[in-house]
Amino acid sequence: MGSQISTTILEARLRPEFPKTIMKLGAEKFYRCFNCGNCTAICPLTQDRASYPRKLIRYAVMGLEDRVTSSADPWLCYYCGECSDYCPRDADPGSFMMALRRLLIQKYSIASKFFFNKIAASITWTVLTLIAALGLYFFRGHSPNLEAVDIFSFIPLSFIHDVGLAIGIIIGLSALLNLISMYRSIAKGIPHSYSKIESRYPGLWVKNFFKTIIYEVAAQLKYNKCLKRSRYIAHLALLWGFLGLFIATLVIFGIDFYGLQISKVIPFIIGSVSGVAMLYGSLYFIISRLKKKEAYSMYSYHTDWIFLILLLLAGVTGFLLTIFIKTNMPMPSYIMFAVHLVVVFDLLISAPYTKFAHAIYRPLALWINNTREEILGYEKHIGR
Amino acid sequence: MVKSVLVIGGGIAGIQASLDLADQEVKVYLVEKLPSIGGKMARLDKTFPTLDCASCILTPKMVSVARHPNIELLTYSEVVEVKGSAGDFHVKVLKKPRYVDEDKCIGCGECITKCPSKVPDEFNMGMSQRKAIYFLFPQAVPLKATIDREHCLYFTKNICRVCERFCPTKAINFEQKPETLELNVASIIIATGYELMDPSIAITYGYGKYPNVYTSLEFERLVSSTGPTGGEIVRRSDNKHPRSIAFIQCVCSRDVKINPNCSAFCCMASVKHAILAKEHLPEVDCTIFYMDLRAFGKGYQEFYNRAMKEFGIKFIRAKPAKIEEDPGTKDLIITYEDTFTGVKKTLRTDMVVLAVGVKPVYPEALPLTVGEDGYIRLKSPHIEPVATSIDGVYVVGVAAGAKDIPDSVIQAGSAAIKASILAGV
Repeated sequence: MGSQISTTILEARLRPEFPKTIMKLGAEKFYRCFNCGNCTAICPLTQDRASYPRKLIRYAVMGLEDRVTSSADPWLCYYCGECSDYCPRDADPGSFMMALRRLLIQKYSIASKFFFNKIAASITWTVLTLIAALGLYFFRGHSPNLEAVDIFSFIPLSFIHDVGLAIGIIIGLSALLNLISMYRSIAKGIPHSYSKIESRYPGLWVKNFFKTIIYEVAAQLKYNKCLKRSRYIAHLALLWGFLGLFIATLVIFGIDFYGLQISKVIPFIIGSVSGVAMLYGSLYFIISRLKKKEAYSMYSYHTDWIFLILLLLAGVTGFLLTIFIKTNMPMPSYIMFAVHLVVVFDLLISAPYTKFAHAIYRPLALWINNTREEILGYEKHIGR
Repeated sequence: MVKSVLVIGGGIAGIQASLDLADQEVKVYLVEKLPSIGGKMARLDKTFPTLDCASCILTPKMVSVARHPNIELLTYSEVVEVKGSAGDFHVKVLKKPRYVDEDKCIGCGECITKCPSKVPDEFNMGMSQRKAIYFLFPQAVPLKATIDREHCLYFTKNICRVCERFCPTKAINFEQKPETLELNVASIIIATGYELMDPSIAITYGYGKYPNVYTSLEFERLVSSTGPTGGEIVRRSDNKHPRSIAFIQCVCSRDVKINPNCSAFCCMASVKHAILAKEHLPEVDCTIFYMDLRAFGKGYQEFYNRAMKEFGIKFIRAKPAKIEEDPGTKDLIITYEDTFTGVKKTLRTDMVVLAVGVKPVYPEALPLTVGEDGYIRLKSPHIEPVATSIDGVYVVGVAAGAKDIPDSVIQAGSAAIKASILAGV
């Protein structure tokens, strides 16, 4: 064990420019840290082994890039901001953890740089939007029904189906690749002896997979533990609003395309409720980021804004579309449909590379961490 | 002819400056706002790093001040106006009424025994009670009784006057009025010292909420044989000896949101407190939580080493995030990250002592420049370490910047020399 630690230290590479990289990602003050550990101690989530933010700040200040990028701990932080509120140096550890997540998204997938570098991002978003708009323009139906609303006379159903399926597969594969990349990154930080021990408990890994999905993803229990109620509810609304809309859209599509024998009232109700939830959630976070009253909302990076704005736009255009369809206004419906499709395309195709990707990285980190904590506790218990 | 000098503040720095001036045949007016000189040092039990008895050093100096033919002691007084310039200052001093004739009072304390009105004793940080007529502390200089108008039954309810009846020298005078004295001095030395910050600002430590959380000055009184418990270290909650004491450094100091300054003496003071606790209760476990242990002075590192090796005091490098109380036992649970191991831990302890930061006090009658750090700005910290922005006005002790007793005494001597030059010695 002793020899292992010393080799890890010997292998550590120092990158003096590393702190600047993090500063540019929105953690401008972390350099002030005098290493007192107040942040780690006040954090409601940090555990025995996963000890953050101080340790990570220390690594970053020393330029130990590998130590930082091989850590899954940034994903365990939900940015409640207590560390920043009580930091005696006003070094803002919360924003440092947030900046690390921005860094890690780019570390896990090189393509993310197209969305994080400001100049590249403005080009990427323009290109994506143009591709979507031009695609719709070239493949639109040439004789849309102008008497009564029939959105598929404007954009053919089969086109949406085929393109949607293709995009779905691309997103799924990208997400998978990124998750593998993340796993490999984290694995670098685990001593070999640990991984050996961990592989002894396959049952625990399976059990914790489902526990993570239910407790951490569906119910967001950790989020609730660390934040004030209203923010927890807003995030839950955003998550379930998005998922609900996604499900409602799929069901409606199933009815229209595959001829599913279900009443359209059910997906319509799900969609409406989810739409309201998503609008509430995205507006809540946009307003708090504009107000800048709490630690987490004081500094917003462009990726934070774009993600929220796309979510809001998807919700708003979806709502307007429904209104136009229900009131039978053909031309406004078609235009809104096109805008909605463009926004949704931008939001989904970029998901594995933008802030949206926290939706896959965080559960993986939580799964691995919670299982490891449990295994470690178990090993301690049986005295190994 | 040698002119006079005004010294404001009767703590150890003011006392030293006054004595050094008076010994050079300079007439000194020593103004103190409390009824007795002595300042914060009078509250201390022992001094670091030698563990000498604080009173044994201070009391003889206080008596020398009172007896010195060249010192005019103006206690219970405040400087209200300063005019003029170096060599020729015109100063107005407001002498608050004690309602006791200082010339007649012989300090017998008969009035105090008879007074029925009890008041929290500020000298013991409110941990014991005094009477409405009182000596600030038993070794007060001058040893003259003072009536606290706010709590005196005669002033509040127009009854009692028991003290007047029992005073053997008829010294009580309820008709006394504030007096304004006019002084002409060549130079002024400010030695107004400090107050502790309000530790309840550090809300996560629960001072004021949890009975067994103390400030360093409270603990100092607790270990002192002249203190509220006669030197017994007992908990506020149950009057039992603590089995463990944790000392937390840098409370309300070195925090940019509360007070960015280091208070300089707390590290050594807390090491001293831990050693004193061990001397009083050899079985007690002492832990000091520190961020950087600043053992910069002569003999300080050795003192710190002694605390570790000889007394077995534990040192943990961490700024604890919070203190919680076990409501049943009133024990305290400290949450911290041990920054040497990177592990988050809790420590259960019977008593917590907060090393609370200081804020300077300075006279408002003088248009002094205050630096960004909140202390009186020095003309040149390197070559004129006691000169203020006003010619002929000097500052010594903590009012000029946080420091310990030896450094305050050194500054006092330095300022005395500067002032004596202006006085024409």
